[in-house]
Amino acid sequence: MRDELELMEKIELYLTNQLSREEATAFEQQMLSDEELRNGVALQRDIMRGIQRTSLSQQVKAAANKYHSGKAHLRWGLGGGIVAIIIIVSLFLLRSRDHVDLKAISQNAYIGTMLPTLNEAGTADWASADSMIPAETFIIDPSKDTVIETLKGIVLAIPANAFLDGAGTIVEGPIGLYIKEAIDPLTIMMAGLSTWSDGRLLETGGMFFIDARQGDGILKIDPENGIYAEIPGSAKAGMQLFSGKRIPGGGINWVDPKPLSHELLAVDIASLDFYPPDYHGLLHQHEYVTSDKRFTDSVYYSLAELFDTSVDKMEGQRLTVKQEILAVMDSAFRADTTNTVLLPAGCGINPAKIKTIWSNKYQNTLLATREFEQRINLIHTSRNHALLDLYVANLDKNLYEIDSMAASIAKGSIRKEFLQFAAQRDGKLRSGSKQLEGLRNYYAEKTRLLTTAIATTQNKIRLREEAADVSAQQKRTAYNQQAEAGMRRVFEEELSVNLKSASRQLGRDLSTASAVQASANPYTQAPASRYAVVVTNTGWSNVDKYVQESTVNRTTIDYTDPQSGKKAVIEYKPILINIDNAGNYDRLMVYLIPARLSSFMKLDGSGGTYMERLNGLMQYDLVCLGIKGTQQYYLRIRDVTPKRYERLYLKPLDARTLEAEIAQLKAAGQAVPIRAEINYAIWDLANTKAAQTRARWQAMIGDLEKSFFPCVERKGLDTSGNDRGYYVEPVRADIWRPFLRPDSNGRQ
Amino acid sequence: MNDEEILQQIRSGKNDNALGSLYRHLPAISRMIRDNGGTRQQAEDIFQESLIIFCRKAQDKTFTLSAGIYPYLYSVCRFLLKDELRKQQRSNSGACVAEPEDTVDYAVIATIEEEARYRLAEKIVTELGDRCRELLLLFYNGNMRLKEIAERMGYSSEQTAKNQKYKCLEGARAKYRQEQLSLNSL
Repeated sequence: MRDELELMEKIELYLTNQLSREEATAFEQQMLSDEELRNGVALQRDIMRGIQRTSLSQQVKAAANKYHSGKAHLRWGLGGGIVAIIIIVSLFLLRSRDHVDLKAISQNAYIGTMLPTLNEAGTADWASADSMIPAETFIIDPSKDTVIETLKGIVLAIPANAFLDGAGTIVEGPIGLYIKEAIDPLTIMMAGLSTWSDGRLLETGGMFFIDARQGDGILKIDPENGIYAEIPGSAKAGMQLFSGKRIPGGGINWVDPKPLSHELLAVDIASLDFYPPDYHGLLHQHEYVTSDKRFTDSVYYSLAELFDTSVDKMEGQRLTVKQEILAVMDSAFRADTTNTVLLPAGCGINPAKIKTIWSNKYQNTLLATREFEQRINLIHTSRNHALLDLYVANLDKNLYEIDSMAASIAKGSIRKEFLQFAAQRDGKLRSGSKQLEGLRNYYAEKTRLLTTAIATTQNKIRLREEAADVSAQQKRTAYNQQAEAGMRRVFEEELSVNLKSASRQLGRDLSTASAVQASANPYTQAPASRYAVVVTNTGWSNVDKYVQESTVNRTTIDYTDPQSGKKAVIEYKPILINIDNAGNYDRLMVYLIPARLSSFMKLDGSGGTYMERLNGLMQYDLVCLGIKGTQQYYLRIRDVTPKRYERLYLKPLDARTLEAEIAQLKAAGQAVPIRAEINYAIWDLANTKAAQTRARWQAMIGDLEKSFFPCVERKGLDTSGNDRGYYVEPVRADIWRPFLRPDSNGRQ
Repeated sequence: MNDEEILQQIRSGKNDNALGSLYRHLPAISRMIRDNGGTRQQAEDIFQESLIIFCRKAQDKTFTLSAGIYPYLYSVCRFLLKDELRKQQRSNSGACVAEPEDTVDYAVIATIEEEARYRLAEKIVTELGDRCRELLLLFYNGNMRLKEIAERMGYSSEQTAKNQKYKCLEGARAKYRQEQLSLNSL
């Protein structure tokens, strides 16, 4: 044991740099070879740093308390015993003087740790603590309201005319206020302050000493007009205010305990957070920015719609948009006479109620306090609106009284937490508002109006979005019909070209059999009018069939007429197009424009690679269009041949240049349909993005509703997230293909 | 107070003002923490810890602020939060969830790990008996001499106080070693 202590002493000397250079070197040498010693040194260094850290922690906590103006809990006390907060308040009189000058104040009273001859009670008794803790001096005008804050964060609110002289008359002219404080445990210990009260040990929440003087005159506080003191660190349950009595031997005994009631301080209500506890986290999970309060407000308040029962919801029924708008306008008018029916307790807090109270109307009320902010967190957790109503209805009461009432209607762990709040004995606002009665009515009326207004707005937004969905749907259908018509036309024209060529090669006219073309066209049910010719001669259908198949499947035919021995050849050869950096574009469209036909072929492909077969009878231009955001890219290659086109580069073009480029296609009569293609692609891109944004929004709103209002259900809707009747039409890829190649015959 | 002034204040032992000024960063950092899955209380604790770390770092004369105090506190808090959430996850699910590290600042991580040891030591010290704690705090933090301490606390001699001090220290060392072992075995 003895060796152990000596070793520790040595280590300590080493760690505190108290060894001589030689000794230190020798010690380090020893450490190199002795692992146990090394560990011992490390251990002791950690402990010493830990001890140092206690004072650093105290300083940080003091700063925290100061920042929160006395709202954080003190976590570190001295010993056990009964809990109390100890405060010396000692202002008594001795004499007064009629006239004082400022010099007299600083000369005669406390300077640093120096003390005046007589104490605040006019006797010469001083405790050792009095001479250990330096005084802070404030010169104040006692005829005005004054608030001062000490170095350690004690706030004193001194009302006007609070000080009396020895004769009991109100003091005028500048006075000196002297404060000594011991808030943190180390200062308390260093000052030799004990925490004994008639033989029992107390837990301290801090100690302070006040004295006021005018010249040599010792002043006292008017008992009718007390000073309000706020000590950093909120009072723990059961803490009381003790007065200090100096006892022989330099100690202080703490006597005359009084219960504390914590007066509240109103702060700017906008600086508080009344949202449900997880609100920001949920928004964040859905990757919405949470720093803009206007945004977070609008999202949260929009949920108030759920609480509105005055508007008949139309969901689930398929009404026309016009009907729905009429229905909503109607209900908006009716809303004035219908009352909002409250949902059963336990369904969550109507955001309209939060919107009502989280406003300037409630500045300077019980609700605009950090204490209430803690309650509202709990109220959200309880999902019981009756608890919120209780606080709003009792703005003139002490917060702890309302806490008790809340505890009486709450259940389980929520009840326990309200009881804990009640035990903190948070009081009322320092200067209570005079219009509390008016505010009560305002709360009920405003909540009702807001709920209806929000619901109406939300419904209007929804109807507008649905109307947009309907028109988008119409636009898509129209486009698809047009695209199909274009494909049909191209097929028919190409078939006609092929038939003519075959006729020429075989020396026979095949066009009379062209009625078959129509039924062969994979894109049409009804025959196209131009080719609706009655079949008169079935003899030639053999060749026709080959030509048709060739055209449908885009494969080469090499046909020898069994009668004449003549050959008909129609060649299809593959072309491969590869676009550079294809992943960069939001949309990429590749067209082959046959020089002799009136429409174009849109190519199917993925990853920037497109393949098609070129008809040897025709010449084609290649047109590639890219869209990224609002930027458009373009490339045109004239007279492409069947080969590989690798890594084609699309040039970014502004709208006007692109328009000029497209106008050049006019010669082939292609400009109009291509322009329509571009316009549709741009619109479709924007529309799809908007739909995605809306789906994301819906998922977020759905999540918020599920977490905050679990028992609210939307009538007639599934809860898959896309639950507000938005319908995003999936784009059918096969529609875009110029030529359908039936898989069944496997002749691709 | 600008960053340089704050650093100077801490170096000259005037932590009160400096800390008060540093608290202006709390709202932004608290928001960051809550946005990343921490609670308000965790935000408060983490921010306080980052201030302690900063104050200790500031005492190191070689310590320089490359980007300013706020970015420093911010990155310390990020790592502390990550630690905290990892711990939470472990106690909730019994499994440690690996996540990709973003910008890893090894100097900051080392500082945080070092400070975690001191925090443990501090906890041990605050949990000592009242007299032991008072003795150690008066001696090491109050810079009081053993003689004064002996008088103040009623020890018969300076030597008794000295022996008592080492006994208290030894008690703290033993508990600390034990806690460290049990932490490491987790």
